[in-house]
Amino acid sequence: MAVRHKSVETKYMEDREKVLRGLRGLDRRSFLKVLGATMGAVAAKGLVTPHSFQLITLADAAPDKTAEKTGMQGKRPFTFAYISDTHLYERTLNQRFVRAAVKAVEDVNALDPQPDFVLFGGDLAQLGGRKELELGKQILDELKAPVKMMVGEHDWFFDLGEAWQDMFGPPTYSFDWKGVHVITLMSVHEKDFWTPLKMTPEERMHTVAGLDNGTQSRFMVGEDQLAWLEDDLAKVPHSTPLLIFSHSPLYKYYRPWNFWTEDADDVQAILRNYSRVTVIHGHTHQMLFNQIHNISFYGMLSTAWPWPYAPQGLPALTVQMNRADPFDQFDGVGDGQFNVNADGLADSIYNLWDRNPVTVKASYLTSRGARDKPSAPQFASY
Amino acid sequence: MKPHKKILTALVAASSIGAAVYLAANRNPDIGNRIAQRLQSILNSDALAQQLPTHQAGASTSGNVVVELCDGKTKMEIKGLKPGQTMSRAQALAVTRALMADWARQHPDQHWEMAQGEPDNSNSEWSDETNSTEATPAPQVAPTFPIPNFGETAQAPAGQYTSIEVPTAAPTAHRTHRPRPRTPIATAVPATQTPRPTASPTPAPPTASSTPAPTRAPTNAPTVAPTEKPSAVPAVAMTAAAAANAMQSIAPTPKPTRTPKPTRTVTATHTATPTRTRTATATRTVTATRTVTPTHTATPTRTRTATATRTVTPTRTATPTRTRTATATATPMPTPRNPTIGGPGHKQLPVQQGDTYASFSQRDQKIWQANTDRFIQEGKEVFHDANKLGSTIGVSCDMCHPDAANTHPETYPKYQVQLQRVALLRDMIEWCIENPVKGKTMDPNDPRLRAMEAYILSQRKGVPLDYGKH
Repeated sequence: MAVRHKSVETKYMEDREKVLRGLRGLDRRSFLKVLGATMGAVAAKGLVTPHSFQLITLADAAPDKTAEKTGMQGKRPFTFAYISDTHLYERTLNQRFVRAAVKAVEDVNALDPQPDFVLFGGDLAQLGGRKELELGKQILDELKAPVKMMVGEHDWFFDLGEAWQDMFGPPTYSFDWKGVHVITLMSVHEKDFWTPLKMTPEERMHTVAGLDNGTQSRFMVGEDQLAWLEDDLAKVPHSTPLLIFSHSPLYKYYRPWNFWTEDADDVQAILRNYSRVTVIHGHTHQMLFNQIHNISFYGMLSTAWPWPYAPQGLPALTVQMNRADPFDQFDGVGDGQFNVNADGLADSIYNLWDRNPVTVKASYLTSRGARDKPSAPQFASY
Repeated sequence: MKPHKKILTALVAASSIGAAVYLAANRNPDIGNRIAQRLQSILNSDALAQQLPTHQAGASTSGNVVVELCDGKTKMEIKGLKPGQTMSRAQALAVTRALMADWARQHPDQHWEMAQGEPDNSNSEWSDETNSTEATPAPQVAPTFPIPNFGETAQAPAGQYTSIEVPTAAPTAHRTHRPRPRTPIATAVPATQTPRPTASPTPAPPTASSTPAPTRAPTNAPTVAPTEKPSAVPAVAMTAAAAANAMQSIAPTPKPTRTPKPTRTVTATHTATPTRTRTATATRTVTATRTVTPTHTATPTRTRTATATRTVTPTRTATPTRTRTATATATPMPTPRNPTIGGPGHKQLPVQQGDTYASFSQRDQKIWQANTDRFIQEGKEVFHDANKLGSTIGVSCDMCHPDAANTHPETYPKYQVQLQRVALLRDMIEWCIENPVKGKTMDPNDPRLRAMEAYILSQRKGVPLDYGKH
C-alpha cells in the first residue's frame, strides 16, 4: 500500500495539535514544567521580536500609557479585522475559494472580543458578475461585526461597478472612529483601453483580471477623488491620525503587474501634512510593508491564493512571508487584524492560516527598521 | 455614406487603378511586367517573407516548376508540377535529394557546407549570406525530374545525373532524410581491396588477407546495430533511371546484397560509391574495422596478440594499422581536397562542422527564432487560459504565477517533499493541472504541455541552472 502523503506543514500542524491535546491532561509534574516554560516566555516577551512560538497580543483591553505621553488623551485604541481578495466565482463553478472565504468569516467571528469592524479589502468577486458579488455578500453577511467594504478591480470592470454599488453603495467614503479619521478610496480606476479595442464587458474584465498583460492601463485614484480627498481632509486637523484604505498600494511597487497606483505621488502629497498616516491595501496577496515619509503601508493577505513577490521593486522594509506550500490550499493565505494604538498608529497581525501569525509593529516601520524587526522567513521567494 | 455609394466609389477606384496599369503596360511592357510582379509579390507576401530574403529560381522552360539550390546554380525542373501545385513531403524530399545529388556530382571534391561557407563573387541573391564555390559549372538548362503521382514518367535523359550512389537499403533510406553530399570516406576501398590494404608497414598475414572479416566479427558487430526503422520514403539512387524508378514507386526497393549485420550503415550511406557492389564492399570493410575496435579500446592482451601472431606477422604493427582505419572511418568530415579551403591565406569562416549546424545564415537564425517564439507564445496562451488548460473551476496558471513567476524551472529536477520523489518541471505542471486547476493531466507529448514548458523556461532566461535547489 502506498504511503499516504503528508506535507511538512501538515505534519507540523499535527505535532502541534498533539502537544495542545496533551496540555489538557497534565499531571502535577507536567503542569509545573509548562508553567515554568510559560513564565520564561512571558519574561522574554518584549525582549525578543515577536514571531513564531511567541505570545502575541491580539488586542489591548484598555488604552495603554502611551496615550498620555503622546498627548492623545481621549483617543482610545481599537481593533479591526480584515478579510480581503476572496476572488469568488459562482458557487457552482468553484468551491475552493468559497471554502476559503467561509473560513475567514469563521476566523473573525471567533475573535473575542470582537473587532470594532471588519474591513473587506476588495476583489470580492473574480470576474465581477452579479452572482459572484451576491455570493460574496451572502458570505460576509455572516460576520458578527459591522463590515466596511472596499472595491477591487475584479469587482468593477465587468459592469464598471454597477452591481457592486447597488449592493454596497459608493466606493469612496470616510468616517471618524475613536479619534481616527478613516477614508476608503477607490484606487483601481483605469483609463479607457477597452473602447478602442472594441472589447466586450467580459473581455474587459478578463483583461483586467490578469496581472501580466500590458493591454490594460495602470491603476489610479483619479482627479475627481483627489479633489474629494482634499475636500474631505480640509476639515480634519493635521494632528488627527489618518487611516486610509485602498485596494492597490498607494505607492509604486511593480508596474508590469499593476502593483502600482499611477497617481500615488499625488495622494501622498495630500497626506504629507499629517503626522500619523497608515495606508492599508489589498491586491498584492502578500505580507508587504513600506514606509514613505510619514506614511506607513501594510499589504493584506488574500484568502484565495498568494501572489509571488515581484522580481523587483520590493520595499526594503518588507520582510517576506515564508514561501507558500502549493500543496496546501491554506498556506500563504489568511486574514488579519489591526490594533490601532492610542497614538493612532496600527500594528498588523498577519493571520497566516496553517502558519504561526506574524505581528508587524508600527514602530518597526516608523523607526525604518531600527526596532521590532519581524523574523526573516526560512524560505524566501526564488 | 450610404451602402450603394460606397460600392460605387470602390468600383470607380478599382477601375482607375486598372486603367493606369493597363496604360503603363501598353506603353512599356517592362513596366507592366514589373507592376504585375510587384502585385504578385504583395499578394504572396507575409510578415516573414518581408523580413527575409527571397529565392527566385530561374524561369521554367515548359511551364513546370523549377527548384533551385541556394547556390543559385543547381536547378531542376520538376516534370509534372505546375506553378501553384504543391508537393507532398515525400515528393519534396525526393526532389531535394536529387538536387543535392546533382550538386555532389558536379562537385565531387567538395562538401556542401564548406562550399557554401566560401566567399564567392557570384551574383546570387544569397551571396551576402551563403556563398558557394563552384568547381564545376552548373548546367545551364535545368534537368527535369518526375514527381510521383503527377502522372508523368522520367524525362531526364540518361546521363543527366552521373552515377552517384545512394544505397537503397531500408535503414539507409531513413538516414537520408537530409541530403548530405559527402566526399568518399577514407575507408571506402574498392571491392578488389582487402580489408587492410593500406598503411600496414608489414605484409598482412595470409589468413587475414584471405578472410576479409575475422571470425569474431559477427559477435562484435551487433553492439552498434542501427536502431532506425526502415522508412517508406525511398532512398534515391541518383542515376537518372534509378531516380525515375524510385519516384515512380514509393515502395522500397529490394535490399542490396549486404552483410547480415550492417553495423555501420551510416557510413555506407555517406559513401559516394558508384555501385552497389562498392557499397557492399565498404560495409565489409567497416565491419572488419568494427571488429578491431574493441581490441583498440580495450587494453590489448597477450592472448589476442598471440592469436594474430599465429599467422606469422608481428602483431604490434598490425594493430596500429587497424587503429588508423577505425579513426578514419569515424571522421565525419574529411579535409576537403579543394586547396582554397584551409590553405594559406584562407580566411576561416564561421562554418561549424557537423550536420544540422554545418552552415547557416542569418535568415536561418531568424526562422529558428521565429519558430521558437511562436512555440513559446502558444505556451503562454495555454498558461493564461483556463479553458485551454481544461480547468473545471475557471483557474489558470497565471492566477498564481504571473509571468510564470515562482515556478523556478531552474531548480528541477529536485526532490519534491510533498510528492516524496524526484520531480521534473513537467511533473509539477501536471500536479498543478490536476489539483488547483482541477483539470485532467496531459500526455507528456501533449503540445500544450510542451509549449507551457517552453514558456516557463523562457521566462527564466539567464537564471543559472541550479537543479535540486529548495
